[in-house]
Amino acid sequence: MSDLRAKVGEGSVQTTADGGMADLEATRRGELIIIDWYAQMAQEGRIYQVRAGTITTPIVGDLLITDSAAEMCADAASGTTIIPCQLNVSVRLGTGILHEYAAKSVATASTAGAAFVPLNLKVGGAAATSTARAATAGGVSVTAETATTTRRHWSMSNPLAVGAGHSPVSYNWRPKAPPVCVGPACFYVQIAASGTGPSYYASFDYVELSTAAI
Amino acid sequence: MADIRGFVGQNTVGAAADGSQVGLKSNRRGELVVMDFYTQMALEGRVFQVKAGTVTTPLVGDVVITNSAAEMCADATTGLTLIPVQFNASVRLATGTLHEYAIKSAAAVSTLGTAFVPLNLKIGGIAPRITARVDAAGAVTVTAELATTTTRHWSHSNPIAAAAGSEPAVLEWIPTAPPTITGPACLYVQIAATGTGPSYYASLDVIELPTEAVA
Repeated sequence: MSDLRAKVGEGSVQTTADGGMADLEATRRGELIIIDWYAQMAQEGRIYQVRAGTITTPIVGDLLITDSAAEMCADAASGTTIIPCQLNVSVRLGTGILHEYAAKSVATASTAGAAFVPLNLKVGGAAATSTARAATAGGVSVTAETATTTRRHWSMSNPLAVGAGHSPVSYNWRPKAPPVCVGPACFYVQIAASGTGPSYYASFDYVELSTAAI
Repeated sequence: MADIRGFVGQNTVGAAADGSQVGLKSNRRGELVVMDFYTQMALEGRVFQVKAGTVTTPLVGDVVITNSAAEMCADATTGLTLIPVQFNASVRLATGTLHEYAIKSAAAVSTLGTAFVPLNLKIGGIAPRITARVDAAGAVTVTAELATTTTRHWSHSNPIAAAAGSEPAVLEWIPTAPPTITGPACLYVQIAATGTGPSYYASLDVIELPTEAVA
């Protein structure tokens, strides 16, 4: 007999209430069942999404990337921490040149741009405490990037316009060690090119927690 | 009844203090909630970033890669260990040929190049104890590469200049088994081409731990 025993629940599901003690679950073979932190955060309704563009209406990005213009962002005020965990961008039209796409964060909230109410990845989940913005053509204003204060988490550059021979590419960022944006802070996405702004759809997801919990 | 039980907190968030004991968390169904090492390191403020280039000001890499010239590096002195987590580079202009990009490490710290203070990925986190350098055109000097002492972690080569038909590419390295770089040691990035140096942005995230915590 093992000294450590867990409960087998192959054909049943526990529904222990908050504050209660749940029997840890094992498979019929005795393997302990675990859930990773991100999946649990989603089930608790603590992951939110900011998105840009809907079908038939992609967003058109900025003409030349600049150090204080973004396409979308999430802001955490003091007392709130956001932890970005996923970004996806798909470019529909890329006729411009010198494409530059990036995700960054900085310790100051954004100051302008159309508000976007973050979507809870758990349908029916609580509203976000954090706020967000999404706007075309670099219409979200963030604090100007500097080497000493702005974190750069992901980027993609392409000097050329899309042309024959290009393969379709989707851009996905899944950080191994995610930025921990302790409010006041802003996580933002830039999508720009020279000549013609890229037409795109994008979304990013982030965990929201009270700063006291981290 | 199981011998091990988890504390359910679906709608509440614990905030136990350092040094206290906390009930292990499970969800309502009894599945133990686990956190991976990298996310926890970020939450503890132990992940630092070295970055090259800011918007409107990319860096221009070296013209011809050489065995002691790098673009950016992180140095761990004795008593410190760094563990690389993620690297990203995006090449803005690539008119040169014979592009060669690489990440390597060696058991000697760098000796020259503009200092860069690593940024904590946790906003408001502690200052780093590791040091770093970032400089254009291979101006970071590292110990010369040798097959017997230098470890090679990632590389990318492209013999031709970017032209119509080139694929847009995200250059990224996320090691499955990351090197454990015990100080004194240096982790460095090289970005170079022939003719014209590549114009690029790059960032390198590393975990910093005291060596006694990994020895």
